[in-house]
Amino acid sequence: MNENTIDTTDRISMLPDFILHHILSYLQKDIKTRVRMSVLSKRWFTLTASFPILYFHFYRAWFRQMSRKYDYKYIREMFYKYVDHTVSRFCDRNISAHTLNISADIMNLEQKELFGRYLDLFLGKGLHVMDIRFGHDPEYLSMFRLSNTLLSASSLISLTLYKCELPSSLIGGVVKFKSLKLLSLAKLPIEEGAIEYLTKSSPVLEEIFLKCCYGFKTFCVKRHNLQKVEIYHGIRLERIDVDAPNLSYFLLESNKEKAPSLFMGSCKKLTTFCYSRIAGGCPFSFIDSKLGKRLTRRDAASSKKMNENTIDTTDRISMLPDFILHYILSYLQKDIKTRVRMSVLSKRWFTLTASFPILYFHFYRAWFRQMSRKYDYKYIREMFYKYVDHTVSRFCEQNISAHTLNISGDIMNLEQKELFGRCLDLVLGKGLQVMDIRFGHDPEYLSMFRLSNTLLSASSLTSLTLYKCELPSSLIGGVVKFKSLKLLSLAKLPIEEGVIEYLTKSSPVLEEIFLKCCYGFKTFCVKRHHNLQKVEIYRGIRLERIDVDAPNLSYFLLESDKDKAPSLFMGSCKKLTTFCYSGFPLKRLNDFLSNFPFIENLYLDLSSHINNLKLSNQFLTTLRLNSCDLKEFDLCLCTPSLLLFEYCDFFSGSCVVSLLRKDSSLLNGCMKWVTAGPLDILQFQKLRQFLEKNSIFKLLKFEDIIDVEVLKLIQFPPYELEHVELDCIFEIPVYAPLLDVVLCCCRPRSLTLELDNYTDIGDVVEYTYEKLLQQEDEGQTNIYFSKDEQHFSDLNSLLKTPFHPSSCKITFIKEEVGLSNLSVMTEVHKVTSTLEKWILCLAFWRSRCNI
Amino acid sequence: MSTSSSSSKKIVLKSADNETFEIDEIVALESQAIKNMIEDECADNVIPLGNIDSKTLSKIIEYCKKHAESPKKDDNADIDEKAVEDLKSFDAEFAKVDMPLIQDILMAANFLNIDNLIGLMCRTIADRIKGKTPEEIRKILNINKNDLLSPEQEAKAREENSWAFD
Repeated sequence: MNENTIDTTDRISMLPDFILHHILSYLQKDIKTRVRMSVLSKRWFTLTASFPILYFHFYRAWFRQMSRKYDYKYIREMFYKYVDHTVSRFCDRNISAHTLNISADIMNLEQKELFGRYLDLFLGKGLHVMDIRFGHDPEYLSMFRLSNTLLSASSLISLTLYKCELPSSLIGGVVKFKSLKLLSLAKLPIEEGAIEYLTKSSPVLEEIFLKCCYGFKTFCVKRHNLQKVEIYHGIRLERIDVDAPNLSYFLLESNKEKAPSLFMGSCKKLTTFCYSRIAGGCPFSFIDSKLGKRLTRRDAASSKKMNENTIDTTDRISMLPDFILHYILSYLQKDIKTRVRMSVLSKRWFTLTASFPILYFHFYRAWFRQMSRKYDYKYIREMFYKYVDHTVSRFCEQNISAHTLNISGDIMNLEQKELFGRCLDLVLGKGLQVMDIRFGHDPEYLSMFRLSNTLLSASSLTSLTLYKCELPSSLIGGVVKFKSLKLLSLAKLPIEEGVIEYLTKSSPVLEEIFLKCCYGFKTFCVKRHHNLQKVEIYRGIRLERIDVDAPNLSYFLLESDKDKAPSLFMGSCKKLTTFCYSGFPLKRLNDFLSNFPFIENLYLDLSSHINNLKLSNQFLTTLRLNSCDLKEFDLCLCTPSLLLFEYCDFFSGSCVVSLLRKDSSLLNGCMKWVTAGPLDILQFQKLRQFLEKNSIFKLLKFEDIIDVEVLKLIQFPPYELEHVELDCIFEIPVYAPLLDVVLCCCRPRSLTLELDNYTDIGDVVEYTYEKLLQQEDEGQTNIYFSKDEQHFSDLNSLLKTPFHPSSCKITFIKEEVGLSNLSVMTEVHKVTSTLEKWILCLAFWRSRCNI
Repeated sequence: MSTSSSSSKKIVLKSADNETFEIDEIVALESQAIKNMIEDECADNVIPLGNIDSKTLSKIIEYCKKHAESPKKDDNADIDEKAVEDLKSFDAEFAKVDMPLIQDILMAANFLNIDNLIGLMCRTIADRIKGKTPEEIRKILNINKNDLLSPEQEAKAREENSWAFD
């Protein structure tokens, strides 16, 4: 039965388009089969129609395959009909073309017009590779000339033309060859200056190939990243001037009678140089790399010699590629004076500053800071706006795309508002990737700045940050093309209801959302989104409902109201690892948290107490809990991986999370205890009970004041802890009883003191040391001391070393050597580290003691 | 005691003035260009660096050695603050050379494709021209005298932002 069913399954058609297109690509020259494919099925009909490589070779495909059966004229007719049909069918679809490869004869005006139309159609389709070769041009027809549409083909990577003229208004026109890497021209007229203009307008051009072109005598390339130049026979050049520091390959076939003047002094990286005066029959394809290298060395030597005569000191910096010089400029962003001065250094630097794709306009950070000593506020403002206007318009005149636009300034009047509006629209049309706009100080008489609809079609944008800057009015329902957007950050601006949902839907690759102090909406809704990983909603947004359906979400932070919790629907976010919440307790918190099986970091900052919290999760490593009244609170932990539990008995109202970072070296079970007021006896009892119930905790850190009188009253049996850390140390009279209680109740195996400069360090250290010894009343005592990494053999030498003026940390470690020996180790350190690092440090000490 | 059988592979670099430098492969890998060469298996014998002189090359090797020894920042591993500080002070010390050498190092770093070093040299150059007048900067950078703006152009540019030139 199986055999019967499989027989009829069209498995090939089930394959994705690109594979079937791959199959089709092998059939390009077999035009008959290629055409037959289109009638196989609906699927294949669509596939052949949408094949983005358009290959129309009259001789190589059509004539070769058909000439045995049909006559020349008929094949021609069929060919033109096929081209017309295929092109119109393809262009009906909304897909971009990859390659257009035409090789044909043009016999009459009609055919000429036909091809002109096709080319224009395709150039509007984001064409990458264009290869046009027209043969046999009858005398009664002028050469085919490309229209100006070519000049705006910014997606073009490779352009090959044979007997096909460049557009007439090339020089001086707006040429947008920003992706062009290969330019190959043969058998066509080139105007004087066209090469210089074309290379200048093609910033990423790597290779030029010329053959049998005419109409010009100078081949000139101004400062460029070009790597390869090949000028074959048939071009009567008088002067060749190439300024391309990265040029590695140069080939020239000159004419017999006269050698051109060659200026290539700046091409220091040339590795292959081929020169011949024999026209035709090119021997250069046989040149091996050795010969090339030998030639290079001679060329380099001679050009060096020439350089020495004409230029005394070499401007080596300017020879570096643009990106490195832009790198230098990027370090001068805040030093606006130097940044501007760079523009007058030389022509090269003038061009470089004008084409710098990071547009950084920070009024306070750069301008005000640097100029306020010399100029008054009003004048600095005026200069700032003038500079923004000037820089943006100069940048946008050029054919380059912008990378970053970073504006931070005030808007004081309508004129400035219009200025920024104009600048933003201009730069958004330049393929902007990062946009960061922050407007401060909005006077009451002005409405908030609103972005125009140009923003919505900024498909190249990867990061969008707005502060006090409204989104376009026709956002919902408008065509939003944020197809590259990964980060969206909005603060202090109104957001309409539904905008978040619409924006996330229109930004398929969005990964992070950050909101702060936005208003005008009550629902935060993200419909099924597979790329969203992080959501942060900070204070100042009064949300009633949050609905996030993002299976890959790993980080969620919400600062909610003190007196009301929003409804939270996040059941599908199974991959959540970090959840931070601050505000009124969520309804059915335990149930809600059980939605997330892989949670590692949990931060709860609750404004009102809850009765119980049950956590049963094997991945949880850090837990921070604020504002639960421990007296009436039942905490049930079943969390074998827990490394850090930080408890704080007051509501902080924010999610400033510093301890949530992963630290694999953290020892199991550290508890940090922070209290607002003095720790009372009930709290301490509760803590003791909690510690006994959850025996995973071995470390304890007290922060803030401990009421010694209360602690003294506790008469529990000692509870052994690995480590206790005390943050607040006073003079001996206060410190002594505190230490007694801690030692008595907790019996730590190690103790860290954080000492302030007003503490009498010597006394404190000596007292602690004595107490620790008293605690162990038997056995010998070995004492080691160290400061930083230096070791001391006794207490006195430790105390003699200078202490850090502000504060220092001392750690005492009791270590049992053998059965009866006890050693106390002391370490003095500057306080530069966190708790985790200290525990690391202890582990290190312990291993030393064991040797 | 067992002697380690994995003796590290050596790479030989040859400068423009024909001096050879033998370094560990791990040091050479700091250069993306050499890394590519090694991966393409075309770095068997000696790698000739025809546009880098021995003074520059030895400086670059010093940099690569230090950076190859320092622990790399991984996502999960702890960032050793001390090592980071150490590397910072090394970089600061490394950059204390004269301008021609900085330029040579930058060009060589660009050729060898060593990202960190390009960044360090760019930053050093920026630091040295901060707050200087155009005339001083021209001198520091050896700006090509044939490439100056025409007097009219320069006057216009200065006029537009006169505040930057006082």
